[in-house]
Order: sequence, then C-alpha cells, then structure tokens
Amino acid sequence: MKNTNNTKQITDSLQRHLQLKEELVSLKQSLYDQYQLPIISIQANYPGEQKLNGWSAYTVLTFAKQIETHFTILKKQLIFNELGPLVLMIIKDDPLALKQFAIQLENTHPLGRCVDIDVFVKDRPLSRMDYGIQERSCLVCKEIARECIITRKHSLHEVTQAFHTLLLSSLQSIEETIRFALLSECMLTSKFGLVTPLTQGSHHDMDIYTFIESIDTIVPYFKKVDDIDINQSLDSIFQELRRLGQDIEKVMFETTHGINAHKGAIFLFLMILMAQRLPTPLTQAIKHLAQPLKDDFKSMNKNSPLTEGERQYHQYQTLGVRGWVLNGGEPLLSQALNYYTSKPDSHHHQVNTLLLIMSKCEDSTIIKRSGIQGLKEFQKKALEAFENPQLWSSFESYCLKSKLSAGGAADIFALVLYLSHSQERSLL
Amino acid sequence: MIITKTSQAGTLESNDIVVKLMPNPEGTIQINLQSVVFKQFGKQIKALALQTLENHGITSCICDLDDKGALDYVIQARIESAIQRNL
Repeated sequence: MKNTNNTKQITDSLQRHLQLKEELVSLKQSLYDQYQLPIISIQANYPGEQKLNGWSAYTVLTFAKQIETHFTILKKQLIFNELGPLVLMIIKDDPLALKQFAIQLENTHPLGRCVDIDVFVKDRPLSRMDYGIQERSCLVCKEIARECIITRKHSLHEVTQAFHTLLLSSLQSIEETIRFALLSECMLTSKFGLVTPLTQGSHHDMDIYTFIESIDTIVPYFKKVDDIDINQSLDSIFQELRRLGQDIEKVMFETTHGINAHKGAIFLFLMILMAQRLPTPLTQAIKHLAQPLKDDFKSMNKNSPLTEGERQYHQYQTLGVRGWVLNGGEPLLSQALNYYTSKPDSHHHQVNTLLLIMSKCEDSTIIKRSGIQGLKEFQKKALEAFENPQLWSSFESYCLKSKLSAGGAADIFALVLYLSHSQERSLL
Repeated sequence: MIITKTSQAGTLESNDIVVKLMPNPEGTIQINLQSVVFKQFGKQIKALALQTLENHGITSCICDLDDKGALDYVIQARIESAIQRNL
C-alpha cells in the first residue's frame, strides 16, 4: 500500500513538472511573438524534487547579473515554481552573440556547470549542437551530462553534493556568503508563517520579491565593516557600526518602500562581521561589542518608548535581540550551528534548524502579536514540530491562523547558515 | 484503437521530448525518432514508444519523436499525454 502511494505521488509531481515545462515554453513563445527578440532563460541544474532553495536561487541570480551587465535587457521576470527559480529576460541583441556568451559562461564560470542558460528564438531554444559545440559535462564526473542522466550513473545524493561543493567553493567573499545565507533563508519553502517563494505566509504587505530586492540592496554595504578601525575603543567601534547599520536600514527601506525585510538581519550580521575581526573568541567578541547596548535600556523613556523592542522591555522586561547579543548569542547560536552542521545539507535539515531556533528564540515579532504567553505556546509547538515532522503542517496552520511569523528566528537562521559556510572565524 | 487526428505533447527543452501523433493511412504503427542520443539509446527509445502505444491499445498511427535527452519515464508520460489529447 505504501509503495502504491509513493508511486502515485511521484507520478503526480512528474505530471506537474511536465505541465509546467509546457507552460513555460508557451510563455517564451508568446513573449517572442510579442517582442520579436531573443528570450533568455536561466535555470539551475539542481537535482531532485525540491528545486526551490538557496542553492538554486543563488546560482540563477548570479548568472542573471552577469547577463544584465553585458546586454540590454528590455524586460526581466523572476518566476518561482516546482521547476525551481527561473529568470526570463527579453534581450535587445543578436541571439547568436547571446548564445555564445551563455556557452562561454557555462564553460568558464566557477558555477557554470550548475546552470542552464537557454536562448529561445522563434519556436525553440538554440542548441549547442547547432554550432557544433561540445555538449555539457556532468556535474560529478565530467563525462557528457546527458548520458550520465539517462543511465542514472550517479545517485541523487552524489549529484546534490557535487552541486553544493561547487557552489560553496565559488563563494569568494564575505558578501557572497552573506548573499547565499540570506537567499537560503528566504527561499526555504516550509516556513510556518514566514514568506516563502510560493506564499506570503502571514504577511499581506511583502513577498519573495521584497526580500530578494532587499538582499540585492543591502549586501554590498557589509564590506564597509572592513573600513572600521579596530584600534579604537569598543564603544567607538560600536557607534560606527550603529551608524553603518542606520545607513543600510535607510537604503533597505527605500528599496522596499518602507517594509522591514531585514532590519534584524542587518543588526546581527554587522555584529558578527565586526566580532570576526576582533582577536577574542567569537562569543566573547560579540558580548564585548554589545556592551553599549546596555545604555539603550538605561536611557529608554518609559512614557515614550521608541521601538517595539523598547515597548516590550517596559511591558515584559524582555531584552529581545539586544539581550541575545549581550549574551554573545548563546546558548542558541552554538546549538543551532552544531545542529545545522551535524548532517549533510538537505531541505528537511534546514527546516528543522529553523524549527529548533523558533523553539528557543525570544522572538519579539511573536511577542508583539501574541504576548509572552503566546510566545511560550509558539515555542512549545515549534519544539513538537522539530521532534515530529508529521506536525509540520499543523504548526504551519496554527501560525497562519494566528498570523504569526517569526522574523527574529529567520534572521538567526540566516546567521547560522552564514557562520556554517563562512571561511572566517566561527564558533565551532 | 486507430489514431484519426493530430495531437502533440512535450517541449524541445533539455531532457524533454516532443511527441506528435498522426493518422497512418497504412494502418500500422510507424515511429520516426530524432534524438540527441540516437546512437546510444535510439533502439531503446523506439521500443519504449512502441510498448507504451500498444499498452494503450493503439494499433495505427504515425508517432514522430523529437528527443532532447528525456528520461524513460518522461518519454512515457509525454506519449500518454499525446494519447489523452487525441481522445
């Protein structure tokens, strides 16, 4: 019985994939008919059923940027469905030049083997074979990819690992690693009220595009942490960080038209990046750096609290994210990082890492919506879902019904992913 | 069952196949295959196509296949869609 169900499921999901593929070609066709210009489509070669994730999104968006800097884009569309993330662009240029550029990228870019860049003209994609160019090589063994796929030469696990290894080794800078971490967070599809590529979760004012635009805007600013002189007092360092944080928040709000997509993430990433530059162990460095935050609590005016965090401090004496960094992020940061790095990376393991953080984090967005009692109930349910994946969907319904969305936990999740993949000093 | 009109399924994207079914005046099943992996897998693909058509009770048709490296279950599913669309 179990087997029959399994087969049925695979068939349904295959049918859906095949249908989406036909719809995609009709869309390309109608765009071509309308504009009479080549259509470029960028997709990741991510194996398996779960194609929506940070790995595939990072790949697709990296190559979209490459094309955008070299060609004139008339129109760009970002699509998310079971086929994975997809960028379609209508390009005012010669299709042959485009295809040659695409092939060159696929052959020479460090992530080239992870991506498919197709150029669609009239009624079909241009093929490498039309130009007598060698076929794509396999992600795992460098033989002709097509043959490895048809003969199922490599296991799903093997191909997935090859993809991950290639991507991680291509991350050359702190900004690229942060971009990957933030994208992985927003691309996660089981999210318990948070925005996903397929749903708006408990939100009506933001979607996946809000997050992607925000990431694009804020990430380049993180390298400015390197400009801060570490040969000055910790207090002065902190004040410089705070000013940088305010600048980044400002450009984020300009991009998102006033929506808070990454305020918490900006704060946490700035603290971690600075702490990584200090000579003391990371947890200690975060604690030291955070000391001036204590003054925030002293100077808060009970009668006119400024922010949600300050309001909650007065009502519940909770210290929020300030308290969290004053403790160096511990013990949660080490627990979550240990848990995340303990197993090979998978969708399931990422979701469970998020649930673990949700079950322990004193998330001010949850307190704001449902008070301290509400937070306790949320944490308890998150822990139950962490222990039993069969409860994921009931926890999801609970969050949606109560309009809960653990933005604070999501920020810490991105931080954990960054620390896990960062070449810089980490906790472990 | 005899195919009496034209129907089509699939795309020319990588790892997919276009299946086109048409009436065959000769009254037999005729499979025309174009494939990027013709040399290695041509025979297997033709055999799979014939078997899938026969399993659905088809006795007469022209079946044009333009294969871009589809896996066997994709080939099977695309042929089945083309048959469904012919009914």
